[in-house]
Amino acid sequence: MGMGKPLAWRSRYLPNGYALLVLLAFFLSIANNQRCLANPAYPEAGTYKLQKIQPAPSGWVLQDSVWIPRRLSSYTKDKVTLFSFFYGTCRDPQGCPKAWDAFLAVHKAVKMNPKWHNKVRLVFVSLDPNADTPEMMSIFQSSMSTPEAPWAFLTTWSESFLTPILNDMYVPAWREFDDKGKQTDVINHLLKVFLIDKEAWVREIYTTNFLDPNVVIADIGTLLLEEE
Amino acid sequence: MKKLLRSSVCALAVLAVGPSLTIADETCNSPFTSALIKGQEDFLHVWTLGEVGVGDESDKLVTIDVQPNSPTFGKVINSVSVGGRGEAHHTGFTDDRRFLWAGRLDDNKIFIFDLIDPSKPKVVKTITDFADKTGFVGPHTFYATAGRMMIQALSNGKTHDGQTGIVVYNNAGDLISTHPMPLDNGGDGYGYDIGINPAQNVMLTSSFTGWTNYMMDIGQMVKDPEAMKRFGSTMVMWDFKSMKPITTMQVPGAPLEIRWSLRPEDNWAITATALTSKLWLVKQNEKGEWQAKDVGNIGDPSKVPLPVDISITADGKGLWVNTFLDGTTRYYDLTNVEAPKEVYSKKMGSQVNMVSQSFDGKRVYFTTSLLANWDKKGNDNEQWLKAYDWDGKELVEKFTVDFKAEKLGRAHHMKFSAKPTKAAALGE
Repeated sequence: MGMGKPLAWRSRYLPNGYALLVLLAFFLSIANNQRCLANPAYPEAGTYKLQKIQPAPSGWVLQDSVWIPRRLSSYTKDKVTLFSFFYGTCRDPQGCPKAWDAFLAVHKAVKMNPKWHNKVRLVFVSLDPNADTPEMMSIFQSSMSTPEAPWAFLTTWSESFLTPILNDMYVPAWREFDDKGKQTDVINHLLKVFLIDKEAWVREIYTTNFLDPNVVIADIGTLLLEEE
Repeated sequence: MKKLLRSSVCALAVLAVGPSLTIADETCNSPFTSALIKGQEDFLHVWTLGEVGVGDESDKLVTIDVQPNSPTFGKVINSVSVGGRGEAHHTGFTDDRRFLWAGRLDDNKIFIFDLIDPSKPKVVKTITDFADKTGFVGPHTFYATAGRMMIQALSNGKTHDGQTGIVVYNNAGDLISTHPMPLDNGGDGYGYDIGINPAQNVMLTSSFTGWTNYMMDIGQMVKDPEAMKRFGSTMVMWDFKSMKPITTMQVPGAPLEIRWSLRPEDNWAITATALTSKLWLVKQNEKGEWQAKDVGNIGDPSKVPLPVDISITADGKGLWVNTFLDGTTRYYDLTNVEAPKEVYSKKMGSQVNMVSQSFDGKRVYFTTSLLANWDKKGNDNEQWLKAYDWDGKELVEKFTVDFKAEKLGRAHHMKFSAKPTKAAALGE
């Protein structure tokens, strides 16, 4: 999956097997989520206020195989949104897999709570538009999204469309070089997960060491109670 | 700042900085700062007070090469003057370690440096309305949380006493919220340092004194009984998520720097009191209530050595404690944190304030300045950075930078950084 291969080649041959591997990895991680216990140190949902930290990011993204640009803002308003970045070949246990685990736990919690149905969405934006094509995103989305808990998998036309979104969110991301000075497919990035309210304000940010799904679920509850 | 961020990225399209670029005093960082480098630091940044008659007399960020294999090892390689003298004091990295926020206690300006090239920090934004927007003055501690910078102020703009609060900005430098220090349930309203223990969802704060005192000549202040009453004597444990105080603990004598043990199995913090010269331990009792306990003296309290900065080892087993007035650093064995034991001391000079150690504890750096009006006078006003190796038994000096001879000013807060890893920013 080298950087130099034509995009069409990738689009034609890679999606199915590639996506299946990724899906297998995160299905295996579901077992871990079953062991999540509430952290008693954190307050109950609705007993605290989440401040408005910054506006949600803007930009243009692609969602499905038709390659039609869509405004990212249409995925970050009117619902409470859990938003993060990932890429399909990411294997750093402190990176994307950790985000997958958290998103799976939140997705399950939303599905199990009828009061939350269609009030919460999850959004993943790919860090690797070269490899993570819209076709690939469609496979992820059809496997993961449900009507009561929509989960959008987005990508961009190219890294030049992605970079402003990353800058808006203060997420540094860098492609590693190998020993011979060639770029690899490893993208180092600081894992950040953003909780966005329905007015498109970021209300909480979770980083690698502090991404506790139970805390995220409590924060979602706080935002939904705030709406009531 | 985002435009500046983008242009900086463009300028360094190939040799860009990976997420593990900038490293601070590794054992005393906010837990929200990203990946620690546990090897050799390359650069040391010293937030330096301008001094009348010294160089350009301006506050500045001084960068020193601390890579032993470098031809410029131990030399000043860069200096960024920010203009004027506003009581430069402390600094702190953002959570992504890309930016360094540096504050001034008198004019309340906050300078945000971009360290994409850590050998050449650049100011990309200056916050000038801190006092106007918050009512607080004296931005002291800069403590990163996720996507935000938490700032502990020391005073307020109305009375200039110690009643103050905490201010939260986002990483772009936009004000998010303010949180007054508690005045009820035993709270005295003072503030100084912040230490967060995310696993327990708690935030610990300490207390110092207000603008009137920290800007007063120290000789004049100690002769003023009323001024000496205006110091904090509390530590507050907060629910970090809700930013609500849980309990206020009485810790007489101005408890200053807060250091949580970094060992995952530990659940305690330690601090030193400036005026009473004691170490205090903060931990939960059997009922889960947070309590502060006097666990020993620092030097001879009757001689008021004035404990200042402290630095905990990564394993939570050792603590450096500087005492300003006798110019001495002391190393405490914390194996039994209920009874710390001084096992080493060294006279560093006429005065010593800050101490920073590498994550492995093998390198320790010291600087001299406390506050412009509290530093010693005449020949006793030494201003230097000294770098040492530490083998567990003895400090071995590696180099000294004389901040007066180099015409820099008063050397204060230190932060580490490392050379960029070879990587390419996305989109370049």
